[in-house]
Amino acid sequence: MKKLTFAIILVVLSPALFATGVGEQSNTVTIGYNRFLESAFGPGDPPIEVIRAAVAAEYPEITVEFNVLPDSIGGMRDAISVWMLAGDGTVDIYGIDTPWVSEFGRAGWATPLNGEIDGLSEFLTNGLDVFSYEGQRLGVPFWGSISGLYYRTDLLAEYGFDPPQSYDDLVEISETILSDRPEYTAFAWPGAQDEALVMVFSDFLYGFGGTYRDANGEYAFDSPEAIDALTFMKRLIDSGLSPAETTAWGAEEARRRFVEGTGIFLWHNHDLVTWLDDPERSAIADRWAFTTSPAQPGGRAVGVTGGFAFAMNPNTDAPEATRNVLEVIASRDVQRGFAMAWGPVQYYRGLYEDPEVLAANPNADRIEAVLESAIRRPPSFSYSQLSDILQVEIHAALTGRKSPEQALRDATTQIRQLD
Amino acid sequence: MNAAVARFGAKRRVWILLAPALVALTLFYFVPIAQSALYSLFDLRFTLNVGDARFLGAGNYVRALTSPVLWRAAAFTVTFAVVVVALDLAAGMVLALATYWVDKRFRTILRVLIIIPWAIPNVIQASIWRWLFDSDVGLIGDILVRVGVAASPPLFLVESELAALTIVITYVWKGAAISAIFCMAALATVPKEIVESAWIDGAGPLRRFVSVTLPMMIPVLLVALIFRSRDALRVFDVVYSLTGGGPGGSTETLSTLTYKTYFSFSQYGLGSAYAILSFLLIFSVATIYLLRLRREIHDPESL
Repeated sequence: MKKLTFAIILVVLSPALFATGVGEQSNTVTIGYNRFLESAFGPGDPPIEVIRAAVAAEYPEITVEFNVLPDSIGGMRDAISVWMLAGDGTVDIYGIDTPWVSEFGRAGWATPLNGEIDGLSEFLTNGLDVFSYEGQRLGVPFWGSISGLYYRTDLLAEYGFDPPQSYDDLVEISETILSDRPEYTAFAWPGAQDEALVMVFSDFLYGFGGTYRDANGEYAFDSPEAIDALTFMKRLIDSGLSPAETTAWGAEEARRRFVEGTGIFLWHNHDLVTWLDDPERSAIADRWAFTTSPAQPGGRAVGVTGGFAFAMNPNTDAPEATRNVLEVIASRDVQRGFAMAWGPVQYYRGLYEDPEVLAANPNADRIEAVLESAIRRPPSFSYSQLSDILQVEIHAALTGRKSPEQALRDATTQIRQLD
Repeated sequence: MNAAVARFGAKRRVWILLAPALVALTLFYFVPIAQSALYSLFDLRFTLNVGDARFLGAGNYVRALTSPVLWRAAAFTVTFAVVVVALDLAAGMVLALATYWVDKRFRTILRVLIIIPWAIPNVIQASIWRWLFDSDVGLIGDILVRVGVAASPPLFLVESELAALTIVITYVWKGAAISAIFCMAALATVPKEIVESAWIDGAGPLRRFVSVTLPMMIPVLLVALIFRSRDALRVFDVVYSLTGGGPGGSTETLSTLTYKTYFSFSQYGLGSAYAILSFLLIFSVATIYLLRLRREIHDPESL
C-alpha cells in the first residue's frame, strides 16, 4: 500500500520535476508590461511583435513570453513590487516608470545594467540618466513622455487669439469662446485622485512661480506660489471653465471631449501627437497644436516628464537569456520599432534622422520646444507615498473638502516626514 | 480494553480528519499572522530581511495608533460594516422570504437570480458598477438626469458621501445574495408543523414570522452575521476597484490602508502593524459573536 502511494506521488510530481529542468537555465524570457505593448498607434507593428521577431532572428532558442500587467501605473507597480518582495521570477524583464527608479534602485529590485548591455552606449545620456540610481543604469529606455498644452488652432484663429502664454490668457480666450459656444469644454485636465494629478499640479506649480523645494532644500508645496496654483485650479472648476467632472477624470476621460471636437484646451502628455491627425480616431485632425503649458508672469512654463524602461528582475532564473533579450531591445531595430508603433519620444541616437521614422512621426517636431522645458516629478526616495499624499490633499482641495492652503500645508507636513 | 482501544481509534480518526484543515490554517493563517507580528516590530522598508532591519519594538504600533489616517480608516470601516451587514441581512431575508411567497413555477428562477450576484467576482462586479456610476458615460447618472432628479449626472465617485453610498450599494448588491442563501437555508430548517400550529392558533403572518420563524432561524442568522461582519470589516476589493480609498482618503478602509502601506509604499513594518491591528479588531468582533452563538446553542432560552 505504501509503495503504491509512493508510486502515485512520484507519477503526479514527475511532470513538474522534469518541467523545471533542475540545474538548467531557462530559455523563456517573460516581459511584464501593460497591454499597450501589444498595441500600435502609428504605422509600425506592435512592439511585442517587433521584439519577438528580433529575438527570434538573433537568438532562435529564446522564447519571449508576455505577461500583461494592469493598465494603471499603480496596479502595475503593486504587481511588480509583490514579485520583487517575494524574490519571484514570474517576469524576467519589467517596465519601470521614471518615479520608481530611486525606490527600486535603493531596494535592489533592478539589476544594474552597466557593462552588461553594450547597446546602452547608443542612447542619449539624459534618457539613461532618468533610469539611473547612484550611477547604476537600471533600465533600457523604450518610451519617454512630456506633458504640455493642446489647443484648437481653428478656434483661436477664428477669435483672433495667439496661443496662451499665461493662465490669464487662457482664461480670457476660454471665456470669449465659451460666450459664443457654451457647449464647449474650455480646459480639460485629469483631476481624479491619480498620478496624473501630481503631474498637472507640477505644471501649475512652476507656472505660478513655485518649485518642489525651497532654497534650503525643503519641500515647498505650501509656498504662496503653490497655494496660488492650487487656488487657480479650483477656480477653473468653480467657474465652469473646467467642468465639475474634472475631479473624476483620469487622462483618458479628460482627453475625450478635446478629441471629439468639443474642447478648446487640454492638458495631456505628448503622446496624442501620434494620432490626433488620424481622422478615424480624431475629430480635430489638422486643427490642433501642442505647446508648453502657460506660465504666469514670474512663473516658469514647464512640461513634466515620464517614461518607461525595461529593467531586469534580479530574481530571474534565466539571467543570460534575459540579458540577451535586453540587448536586443536596446538595438536600433527594436527602438525603431517603438518609434514606428508608438511615436516619440525615443532616446536612441539618430533615430529621428531615419526618413521612415520621420515619415511615421510627422508631428515629432511639435514636441521639440516642449522638451526644452522638461522637469522631473518631485524627487523622493519615497515617491509613491509622496505622490499619494499630494493626490489625496490636492483632490481634497479641488472637491472643496479643504481649502487649498490647508490641503497644501497638510501635504507638506506629511511629505517632510518621508525619506 | 476494547472500549479504550475504540476510544483511542476514534480520537485518532478525529485528528486525521482535522489534520488537512489544521495544516491549511497553520500555513495560510497562523504563519502569516505570526510573520506579520514579527515584521511589525521592525523598521522594514523595501526589504523583508529582519536580520538587517532596525528593531523598533512597539514603534510601528505607536506610529500607527497616533496616525489620523488609521483612525479615519477604522471609523469608516466600522461604520461601513454596521451599515452593510444590517442592509445585507435585511435584504437577504426579504429575498429569501420572496422565494416562498412567489408561485412555485418562479421559485427556481428567483433563486437563480439571487445567486447571480454571488457568482460574479468582486473585482468584475466593482468594474461594472464603476461604469454604471461613471459621471460622464454612466447609466445611473443618465437616468437621474432624464427623470429630472438631477440637473447633471452626480459625481458618484468624487463626493465623499456619494462615494461611500456607491460602495455600500455595490457591496450590498452582492452581500444580500449571500445573506439570502443563508436565510433560505435557515428557513428550510424551520419545521412546518410548528408554523402550522401557530396558524391554527390564529397567529397572523407577521406574528408567525416574528414569534415562530425568526427565533428558530437565529442560530443560522448568527453564523451569517459572523461571516458577513468579518467580510465587511476586511472589505478590500470593492473599495480598491471603485474608489481606491478616495476621494481624499474618505473611503479608505483598514484593508486598503494596509495594502497601500505594504505594497504601494513598501513599508512592510508599518503595514504589518496595520494588519495586526485590523486582525485584532476582527478577532474581537468574531469572539463576541462566537460567545453569543455558544450561549445560544447551550441556552437558547436566554435569547
